[in-house]
This record gives sequence, C-alpha cells and structure tokens, in this order.
Amino acid sequence: MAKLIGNYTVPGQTTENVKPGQAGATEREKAEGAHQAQVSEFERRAMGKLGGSIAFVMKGKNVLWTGDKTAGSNKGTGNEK
Amino acid sequence: MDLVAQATFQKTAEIGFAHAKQNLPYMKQTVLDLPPTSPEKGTSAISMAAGPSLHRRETIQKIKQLNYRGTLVVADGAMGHCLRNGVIPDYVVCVDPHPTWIIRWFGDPDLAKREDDDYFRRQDLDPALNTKERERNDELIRLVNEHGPKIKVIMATCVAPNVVARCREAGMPLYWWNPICDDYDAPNSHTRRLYDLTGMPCMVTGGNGGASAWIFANAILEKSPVAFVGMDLGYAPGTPLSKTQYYHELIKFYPEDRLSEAYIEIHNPYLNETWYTDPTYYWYRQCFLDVVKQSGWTAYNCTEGGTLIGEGIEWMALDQFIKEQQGSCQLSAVS
Repeated sequence: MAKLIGNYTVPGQTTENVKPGQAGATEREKAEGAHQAQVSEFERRAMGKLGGSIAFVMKGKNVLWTGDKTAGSNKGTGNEK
Repeated sequence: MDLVAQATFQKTAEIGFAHAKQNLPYMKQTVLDLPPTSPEKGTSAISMAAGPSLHRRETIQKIKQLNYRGTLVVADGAMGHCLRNGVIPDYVVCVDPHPTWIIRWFGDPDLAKREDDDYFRRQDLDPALNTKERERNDELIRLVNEHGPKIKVIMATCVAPNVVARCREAGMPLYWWNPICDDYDAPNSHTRRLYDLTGMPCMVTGGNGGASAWIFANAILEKSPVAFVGMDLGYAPGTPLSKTQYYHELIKFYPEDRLSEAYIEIHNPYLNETWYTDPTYYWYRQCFLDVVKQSGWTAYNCTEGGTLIGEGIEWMALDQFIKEQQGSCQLSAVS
C-alpha cells in the first residue's frame, strides 16, 4: 500500500544548512517531531477506517486454544503444543 | 499489510472486550458443546460468505436445485440471502464487533432510528439491499424470527450486545467462542484477557466472518472436505470503484484521478479474468492463504469468481463439489 503523504515541507528542504543542536535546528527538530506525531496520528486514524472485521493471528498449526489447562477437546489440527 | 492488521486490532480489541463483558450473562454454551451433526449430513460442508459471486453465479439456487444435503455454515452477511431464497443454513457465524452494522444481517428493529448510512447500499454483495432498505429489513426480521430457532449462532464473545439481543429475541441458540486476536502466550495478551473473562474456547478467525465460517467447519465440526462459496475477496471486472466497500475511506486519501492506485489487480487464471481488490480485502486474502497453508487443510474454492487462489486451494465448480459429496449423505435425508 502506498505511503500516506501530507502537504508538508520535507525535512531539510528549507533549513538544510542548519546543523543539529543549533537554535534553528532545535526549533526545526521540534517542529518535525510534532509533525511526525501528526502524521502518525493521521495514519493511525486512516488505517483505523480501513481495518478489517476482526484481528487475525495463528501460531503454527494451532486453530484452537482452550487456555493453559489440558484441552478438553482434541479438535484442531492435532499439533497443539 | 501489517498496518491493516494493526489497525484491525486497534479498531476491534477494546470495543470487543467491552462487548464481551456485557455479553457474559448469556454465555451458557460454547462451540465445544455443539451436538454432532447428524449422520444424514455426511462428512462435507460448505461455508458461505457474502461476496458478489453469490448472486452472480446463483450459488444459492444451485445449492437448492442440487439438493445439497451436507452441512451449510454461513457468515452472518450471507444469511439473509439464503433465507430470502428458501435455504436455511445450519450455522451462522458472527464475529465482527461493529456496534451498529452487524445487527442489520439479522434484521434491525431499530433501523429507522439509525443515522443514514450507505454501507449496505454501496456494496455489491447483495443487490436486494440496494433498494427498498426498510422493506427488506422488515422482511429479514420476519424471516429470522420464523427460521431463527433452527439456526445455531456461532457467536464470538466480542460481538455487539444488540446482535446478541436480536438473536435471543428470535430464539436462535447461541454457541460462544473467543476470537484469537494476538499471541495468547505474550505478556498482556488480549486473547488471554478475553479467555480469563469468559472461559470460552478460542479460535483463529481468518480476519472476517467468511473465513471464520470455513475454519469453524474444519476445526469444530471436523468436516472434510469443506468448500467455500461467496468468498471473492475482491471485485468483479467492471465494478465501479464507488461500489467497493472501503471507497469512502480511500477517497479521503487519494485524489479521484489516482484512486485506482489504491487497488490491486489480481488475474484469475481459472476464469481468465482480472479482478481487483482493496487493501482490506487483500489483507483478508493473505490471512486466508495463511490459514490454509498453516493448517494443512485443503480449501475447495467453489466461489466461481474472485481472487482467492494459492497454495492449498483447489478451484472447483460448485455443482461438481456437491455431486461428489452427496454420496456421503445418507439417503434418508432426502425430503
């Protein structure tokens, strides 16, 4: 899936001569940090809308899990550990 | 695809847990308490999702005409299409914790009070839902009330309480399970938290109701072979993008003239057609391929359309599957 892009200034585009740690750089780094947080939040919300019905994971061949006690059923694919 | 997986977890985990808390008083039986299917049903099963091939290929009409006597497990979204066409499934699987959409598959008594939502009209899943929504909803309420007691609901603990109430109102027997949403051996596992709360057995989901139906037929009913129908996980050639399930979300991120870049084309060599899919359906497809590969079960794809092609999936015409499997059903089942 394509990376989500916003209409922001690419880091380094306008202040590329400022070195890290300098006053200008600190301001820029703060702004970038805030911006990245905004982008992350935007992506999180965007993907929240695109998410599926229910989460999915599968450990090995295990289809069923009935807790740590011995399962009362041998159903599944027979390879539960 | 990891983003979709994470988004799905974030979208469903907490609300699902809250629903499970509310559903606790009704968790009387688990999926492990299900009575075995009768010998007349034979060894095979068909699981059904609500993809566009269901009506494009007249799947339910074929099941009816060929008098399939095996076990029929449907995702909630496909139940209405079955009932409208005179087919009563044995089981309906319900797993999505969405608070307002899912009850619609059972007939929503409060539809008139809901905010207008074109979720159902936009989908090509069942054209019956594209027109006369209120009348169709009323019809479904009547059908579910009439046939519900004969249909066992395979209910995930995370499903919205209004769905549980609707099923109970219709007299549908409930059999509960927890969806496996993460690694139950990991610290702070959500799945373990659900298990500790409910005590219900946990089952892999496959990411959606159709996949869960297929897994349930294999893992709990121990049916073999299990075919699936209506599981396109994609859109037929020529389907307008505006008719796809996540169109309203994708259009927010892509300009109209580049919207098609959000979709993925998949050539189906059996049909010699190029279908397309969106990121979420593509994730479902990958989930299902993972389940098939890791479980070692063969999946018979009798959808006759769609994008689900891969290792462990056998492409087969539905009438061939039914004809081959009728022999395992006892003749006494003929009605």
